Amino acid sequence: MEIAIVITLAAGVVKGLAWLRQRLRRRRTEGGVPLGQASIDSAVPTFRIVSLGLQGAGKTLLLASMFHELQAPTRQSYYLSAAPADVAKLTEWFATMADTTDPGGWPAGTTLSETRRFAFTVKTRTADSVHDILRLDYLEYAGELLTRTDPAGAERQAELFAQVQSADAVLGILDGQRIRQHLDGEARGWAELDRTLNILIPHMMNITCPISFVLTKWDLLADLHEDEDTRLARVRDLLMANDHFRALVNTHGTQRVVRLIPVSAVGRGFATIDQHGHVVKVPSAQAQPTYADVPLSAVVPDVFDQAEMRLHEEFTADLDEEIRQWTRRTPLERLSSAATLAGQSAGRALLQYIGTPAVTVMGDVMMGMFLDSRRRRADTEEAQVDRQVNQAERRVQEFLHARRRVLRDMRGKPDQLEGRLPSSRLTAGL
Amino acid sequence: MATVTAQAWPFLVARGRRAGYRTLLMPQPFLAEGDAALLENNVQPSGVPDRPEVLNLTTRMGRAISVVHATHRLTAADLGQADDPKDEHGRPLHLLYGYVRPRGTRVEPDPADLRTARATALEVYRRFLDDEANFTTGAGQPFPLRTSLRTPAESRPAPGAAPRWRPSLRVVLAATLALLCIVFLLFTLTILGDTPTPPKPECVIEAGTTDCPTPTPTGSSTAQKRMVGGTSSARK
Ligand SMILES: Nc1nc2c(ncn2[C@@H]2O[C@H](COP(=O)(O)OP(=O)(O)OP(=O)(O)O)[C@@H](O)[C@H]2O)c(=O)[nH]1
Ligand SMILES: [Mg+2]
Repeated sequence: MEIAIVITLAAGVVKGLAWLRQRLRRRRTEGGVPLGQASIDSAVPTFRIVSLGLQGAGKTLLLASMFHELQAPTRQSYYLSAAPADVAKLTEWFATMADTTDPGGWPAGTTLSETRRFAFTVKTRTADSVHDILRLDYLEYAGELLTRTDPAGAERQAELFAQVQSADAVLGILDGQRIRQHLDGEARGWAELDRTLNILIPHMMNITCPISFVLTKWDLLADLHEDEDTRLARVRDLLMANDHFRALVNTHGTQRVVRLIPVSAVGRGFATIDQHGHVVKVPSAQAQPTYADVPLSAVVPDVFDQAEMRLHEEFTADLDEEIRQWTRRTPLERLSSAATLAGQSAGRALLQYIGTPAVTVMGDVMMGMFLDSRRRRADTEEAQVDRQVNQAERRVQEFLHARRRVLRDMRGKPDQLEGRLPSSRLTAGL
Repeated sequence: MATVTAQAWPFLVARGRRAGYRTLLMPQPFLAEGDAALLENNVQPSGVPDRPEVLNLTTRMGRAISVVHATHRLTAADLGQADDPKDEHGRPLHLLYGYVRPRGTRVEPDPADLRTARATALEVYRRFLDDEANFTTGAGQPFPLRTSLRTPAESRPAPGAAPRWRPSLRVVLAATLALLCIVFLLFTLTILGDTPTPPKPECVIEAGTTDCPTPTPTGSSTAQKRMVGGTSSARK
């Protein structure tokens, strides 16, 4: 019995190792990924984005509508892709929001247990391939975490603050409904807005990454003035009248443009405020998010610019290494040495001198044929190698071109917004 | 088949009109042990109203528990009001309620237990809504479970049953030793076997010397430079 166990175990291990070895060999010989692709894949950076906003400010709906707007390359060359479970969640939120058969049916407030990181990949298509350009790590959390003081939320709160400190970009979320309340003369509106600024500003003051402010629920401010930029200018003046807010904007403004981006997750006319002050849907209205795609586009190119030097160096080094490794694996270097030698008369003598067994026993004719065959083989293999390297070069160029196009499109979004709403720029300019 | 009737402790996690989510009713042992965040951190709202879900957790004190929970969207009737209650942002209010019981092997939760937990949760929630700011978390008192648990003890062999074979220490040692030897042998073989042997005909010079001459610039190395150069120029 005991021996049988030992034998069975040993047999299992032998089989397992043989299988592993075979796989390793196959991987080593086949290579699998085309030359250059590994470097391209590792040249895709991940940027961490945090939207900083209190409970009810509109973070969840902003995320859902942003994904809704960017899930296909409709108005831009790029689109967002996410894991199926994340897509399902985002789609569910959007559907709940857009469903007017349930007038009060908004997605519930985010719970502590629903804290979740969404991993998006910004992709673009070219004629015959899809390129991953960059990845975004986006934290979705309960806004109340920012203000909790009890021990139950302490762990998650520490996680959130750490995320803010290490973020590549931060979006400050300002609740448009509070501004509406304030402008309507409700004391609560200003009190809440002031509280929001007092909570967000210390966090945003301590970071050096790109920031933008997002003014949510823009549709609720539609009747402030018929001209959209005048409306935004009123909000901007209101915010800039706050000393702390102005100081924050000016501090960050020395490095790059700081924007105030109005967004509506649902679009104008989809919802209204009822007599209790609740946002309710308008029956049979259609959700059409407004500017929901802009906030990401406003910060990502800046983040990219900041990281570009490092990314470029890493990419070049990776590519160098990949090609070095690859040429080491192919007989190219040896082939070309042989071909060069065979082409020279001295080469033949050298070969004889070195004493290659086959060569030493060959007559002149045989020797000539041997060298010819070596040269032919070397030529074809060298041509193959050259072709692969050329293809790799094309692949790399195509990737770089696709990335430039995506970044250009991204930069275009806040620029277009600014063309339409000049008040969206909070800093004078650089 | 041995079953035990156990006790369960109701709980409630919910937010108010203004106050954010809190554990409003905490199983009494959790309160005593200061395991304040366990339920809030782990109980996820469900999209299907009042459908029981079971979650296995371990408390800070190392106790294995099962949390049977469900999500209930509050209605006007629940609170005796005219309209469905909402938070100040206009969102519906939900109860994440249920009970905590000692972990047993999987059994379908009896709906009656969940109903008991919901009734307790609603009662607590009404009190909370009356004065959100000054509400303090209550201790969930135990109630007898209708759901009968099969405890893991059941899987122990019945007395008198034929003893199951257990490997002796000697066998385990022998097997480990044999395994180690085989792994070492195969590892050595794998390493040696995988050392790329230079393809003889390609490196003709190799036969009589230990190293090949430095390669002359080839298609690949020029292409390599070209590509890297291309990269940098492309980024300008
Ligand atoms: N009219 C209008 N209402 C909005 C918009 N975005 C959010 N709301 C309203 O604001 C509520 C809160 O939005 P959420 O996205 O859930 O807020 P949140 O920041 O995720 O809140 P927490 O999860 O509590 O942190 C929604 O239920 C809507 O009633 C918008 O663009 N327009
Ligand atoms: Mg939310």
